[in-house]
Amino acid sequence: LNGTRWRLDRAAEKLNLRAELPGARLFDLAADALRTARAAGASRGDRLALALPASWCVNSPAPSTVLRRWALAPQREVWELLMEVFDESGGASLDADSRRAVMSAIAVLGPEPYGVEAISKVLALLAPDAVPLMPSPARTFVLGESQAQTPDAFVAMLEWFSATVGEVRLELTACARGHTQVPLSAAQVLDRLLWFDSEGYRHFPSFGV
Amino acid sequence: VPARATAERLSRAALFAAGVGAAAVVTSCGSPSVSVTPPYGLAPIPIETDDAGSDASDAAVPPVDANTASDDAPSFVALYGGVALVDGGLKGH
Repeated sequence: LNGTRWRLDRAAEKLNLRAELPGARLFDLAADALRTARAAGASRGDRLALALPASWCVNSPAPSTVLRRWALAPQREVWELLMEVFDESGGASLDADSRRAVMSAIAVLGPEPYGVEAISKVLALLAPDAVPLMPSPARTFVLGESQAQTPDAFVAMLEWFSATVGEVRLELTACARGHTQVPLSAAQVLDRLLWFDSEGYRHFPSFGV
Repeated sequence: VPARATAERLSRAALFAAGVGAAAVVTSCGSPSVSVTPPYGLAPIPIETDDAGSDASDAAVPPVDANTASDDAPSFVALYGGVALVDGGLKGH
């Protein structure tokens, strides 16, 4: 954005259009089901196993070989501890120790060029109030062209996401309550609007941006 | 804010995983290459069991030939593939 402000407008329209996309809708339903599973006491390992293939619903670039690697020791333990960090943070900003630990984990889990995007698409199911989807257009939209491709991009996106949700939580919550097609939290509303304005609008040429 | 102990455990786990690397993952999967008989009468096709990009997996997995599947049966890639699902239109938006 080059320091300009991003205006959140026509939110209801954008959320409704997104809900028309089959993959996106399934992804949102899966995130809600995983939220229910967590509340019911499902283990982190079980929730991870469900989230890995569900991440394909929003075009995760990770092939099945990478998903299998993540589901096996020793990387499975890294995933479960990542989940624990975000469970404990509850969407709040991470402290310096946690940020460093998360960056180490991301480097190990996702050395491939698509690592940040693929990891975000799993964590956006498991910790939707803390982790947004991070495809390259979203990272570029938020961080700018140069920073979007750096190893720090994952944590930079987390910090922006946490701060922005806190800044406009009331408005986002109102949007979430008004959206009846799929259950969304305030943070998820921000994430879906970020997707729409950075990339998703291309699916809807008649929308007019 | 996460407990410091959790962050420390995550750092240790990441360090351990970085040190172990892909070799341990392959070991945990068994032999580098196995064959299975997929349903719907498809011919046995080797399945890679190590990480993508290794020499072993490159050698073990032949190109998928769509002609080996009957018209009404899911193809091998639809049953087992990850990336191939994109091309099949089954994945994503």
